Amino acid sequence: MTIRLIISALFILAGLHIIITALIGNFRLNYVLNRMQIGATADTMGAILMLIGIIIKTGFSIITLKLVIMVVFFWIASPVASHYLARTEVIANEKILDECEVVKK
Amino acid sequence: MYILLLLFWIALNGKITTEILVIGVILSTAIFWFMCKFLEYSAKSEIVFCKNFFWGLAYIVVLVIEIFKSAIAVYKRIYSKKIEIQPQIVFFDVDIKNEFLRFILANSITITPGTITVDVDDNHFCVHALDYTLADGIEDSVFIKLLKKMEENCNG
Repeated sequence: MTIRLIISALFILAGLHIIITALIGNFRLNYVLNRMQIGATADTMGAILMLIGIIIKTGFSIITLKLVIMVVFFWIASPVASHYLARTEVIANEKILDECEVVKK
Repeated sequence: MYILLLLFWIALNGKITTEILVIGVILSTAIFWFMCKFLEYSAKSEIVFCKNFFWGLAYIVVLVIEIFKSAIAVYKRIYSKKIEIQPQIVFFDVDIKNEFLRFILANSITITPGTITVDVDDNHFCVHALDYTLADGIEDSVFIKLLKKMEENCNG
């Protein structure tokens, strides 16, 4: 029981750490698209680590299945949001070439 | 897919009784009918779905591994003393014809930390990468190989 608590606490702390890292990254970077990359990291990594922690804490039951469903919907919805933000930025910014180089493959 | 809908209903309810099962069957049938009528889903795509189920599971495992790898790469860049990144926008072509598989590819590129799909036009992808190393070899990544195999399964 105690070991399970410690492991789940470690996972939740790791998730929190990732989210705090994303916050720091948001202040250290200075361009919208780069900041958004960090934000997306917080979404995917932070959420999954915290939910793994919660799953270990509650034990394996029907709630686990519900949490997994939550992760799945989160992972489907979050990329769509960041894609639309990125697309708007690229279309609207006329000086995009100052910020990043464009490569064709 | 029908079974998945039913399982989803049971998972939301949290327990199995006759009542819940009967209502679940009715609701799943209704949703399945809706999908067939309006979302271009059919019995044929049900077979394709069953064929690709295990490939899909393999794809999810690969996706999670890739997410962890690139998350560590992004993490290192945030905590380096001086941030030295060269953002890049990459245009590349993918020869995947199935629209749904292309949607999955775009979504998994966006969900991987460090890369965002900016635009998809037919099979031309436009991807923004935080650093040029993260966009290295993006036009023949593991995702695309797996998705091509799935597409072969769909056709043959």
